[in-house]
Amino acid sequence: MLEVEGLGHVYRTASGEVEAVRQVDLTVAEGEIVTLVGPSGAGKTTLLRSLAGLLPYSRGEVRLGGDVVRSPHPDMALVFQDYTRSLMPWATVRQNVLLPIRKKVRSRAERDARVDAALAEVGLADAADRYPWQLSGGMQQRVALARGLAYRPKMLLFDEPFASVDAQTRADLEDLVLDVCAHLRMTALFVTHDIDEAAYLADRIVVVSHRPSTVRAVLDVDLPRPRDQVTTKSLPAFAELRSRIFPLLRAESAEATA
Amino acid sequence: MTGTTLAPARSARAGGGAARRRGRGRAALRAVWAPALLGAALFGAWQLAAAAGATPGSLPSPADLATYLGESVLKSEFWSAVGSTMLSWTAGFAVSVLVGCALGMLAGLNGVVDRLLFPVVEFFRPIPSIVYLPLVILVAGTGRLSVMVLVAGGAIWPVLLQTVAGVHDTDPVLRDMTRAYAFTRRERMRWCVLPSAAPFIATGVRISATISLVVVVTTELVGTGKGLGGVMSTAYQTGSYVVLFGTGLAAAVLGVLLDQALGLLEKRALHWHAAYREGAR
Ligand SMILES: Nc1ncnc2c1ncn2[C@@H]1O[C@H](COP(=O)(O)OP(=O)(O)OP(=O)(O)O)[C@@H](O)[C@H]1O
Ligand SMILES: [Mg+2]
Repeated sequence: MLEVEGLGHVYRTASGEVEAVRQVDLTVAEGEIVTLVGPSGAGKTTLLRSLAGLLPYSRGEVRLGGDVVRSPHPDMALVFQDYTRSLMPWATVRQNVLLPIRKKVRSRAERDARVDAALAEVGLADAADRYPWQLSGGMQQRVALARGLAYRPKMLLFDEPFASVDAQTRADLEDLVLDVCAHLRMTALFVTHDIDEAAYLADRIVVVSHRPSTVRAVLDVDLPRPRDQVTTKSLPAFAELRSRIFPLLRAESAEATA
Repeated sequence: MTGTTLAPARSARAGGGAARRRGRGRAALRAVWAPALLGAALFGAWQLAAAAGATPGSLPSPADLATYLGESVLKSEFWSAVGSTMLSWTAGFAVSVLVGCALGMLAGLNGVVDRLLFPVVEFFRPIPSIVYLPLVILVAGTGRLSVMVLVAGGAIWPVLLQTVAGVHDTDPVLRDMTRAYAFTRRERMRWCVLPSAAPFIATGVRISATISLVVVVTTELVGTGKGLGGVMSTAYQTGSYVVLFGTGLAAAVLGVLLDQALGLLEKRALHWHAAYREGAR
C-alpha cells in the first residue's frame, strides 16, 4: 500500500542546512499497522509530513497504491501530534469532522450520516454540537481521529497523537485505534517515541535512529490479536520485544550525546 | 523579520486572555461603577467651580450643557447633524475596514505584495490625514467623498497592519491540516485564515472606528461645515459656547457608544476565542 524508498530531507535554514531524515526505506502492506519509533527530535514529524505530501522531500520517493506522493493524497488522512492546534476552535465538533468531506460527498444526507458514524465510532455522538475547547484532551484527540475516519482514507497516518494525554486516557485511545483499524480494516502508520505503545499497537515496528534518521531495525510483532492492555503487556513475547527495542534507542542516544 | 514587513509584534488582545477571564462578575460591576463615580465627581467639581466663578467665563457649567443637550435632543436639527456625522463616519469607516482588510489579506498571504506595500505604508502611516484636507477639498469639494478619503487616509492603517499580523499568526499545523484534508482555496480562507486573523482584525477595527470619528469631526469642524463638527464651527464663530461645548459633548458620547457597540459585536463574533469563552458548561 505505502512504499517509501530512500527518503531523505534536508531543511535549508538561514543558519545552514539541517539534515532531519537521511535514508528511510519502509513499506506498509494493506491492512497492516506499522509503528515507527524513534527518539525525540529524530525527524519523525519531518518524515510523516513528507509521506503525507505536506513537505517536498529532498531525496527518494513515496508511493501510495502506486501513485507517487508529492502533494496530499486523497486516500491518506493524518492525525496530528497536537490536537489543540489541528482542530478549529471556531468550528463545532461536527463542523470539524464535516468540512474535509464537503466536496468529497455531495449529498448532504450522506455527509451527515458519515459524520455521525465517525463520531459514534469514537464514542462522541453526544458531543457533535460542542466546541473542541469544551472537551477534554482525550475527547479532542478522538475528534481528530473521527475527522480522519470520516474522510474514509485507505491509510491513516498518526504523529504521536497521544503524547500529551494522561496514561489512562492514552491506554483507552490506543485500544480505540486498534478497534477502529480492525473494524474498518484500516492501514496505519503510527509514529511514537513510546516503546510500549509501539509494541502494543504494531504488526511491525520500524525503529529509527537519532537525527538524521535512518532505519535501525524492522521488527515483526507476533503478539496475538485482539490485544489487551493487561494480558498482552504481561506476555513474555511483549517483554522480549521491549528489550530488543530499548537498546536500539539507547545506543543511539549514547552515540548522539557522546 | 519584523523590521521589514507590515506585521507588528503581536496583538495585545490576542495575548491577554487569562487576565480577562479572571473574576469577571465583580470586575464587571467595578468596570461600571468606578468610571461612573469618577465622572460624577469630575462633573460635580466642575459645577461647583463654575458656580463659584472659578472657571473661564467662556466655559459653560455642566448644568448649562445638560439643559442645552436636553433641549437639543428634541430638535430635528440636532439629529440631522448627528445623522450627517454618522453617515460620514459609516462611509469612511467602512472603506477603511474593507480596503484595509483586503490589502492586509493580500500582503499577509503574499510576501511580494508585503514587501512592495511595506515602504509605502511606513511612509504614509505617520502622516496626520488632516494635512491632506486643503488638497482634497480643492479637488473633490466639501462633499461626503472628501470626508471618506480623509477618514480612510487616517483609519486604514490599524486594520491593514492588524490584518497582516493576523494572517501571519495562522498556525502552521492548522495550515497543514487544511492541506492534508484538501480544503479548497476558498475554504482555507473562510475556515482557517480569516478566523485565525479575526482577533487581530477586531483590534484594528476598534482603533480605526475611533480614528474615523476623530477625522470626521475634525474635517467637519475645519473644512466641510457639516454635521456635529459644522455646528461646533458655527458656534465657535458666533461665540455660542454652550452650543460649542454641548455639541462637543454629544460627539464624545457618540464615540463612546460606537466603541461599546463594536465591543459587543466583537464579543459575539469571537465567542470561541480564549478571551471570550463561557465558563464550564
Ligand atoms: N522547519 C524546520 N526548519 C529547520 N529545522 C527543522 C524544521 N523542522 C524541524 N527541524 C529540525 O529537524 C529535526 C527533526 O524534527 P522533527 O520535528 O521532525 O522531529 P520529531 O522526531 O518529530 O521530534 P518530536 O519527537 O519532538 O516530535 C529537529 O532537529 C528539528 O530541529
Ligand atoms: Mg514530532
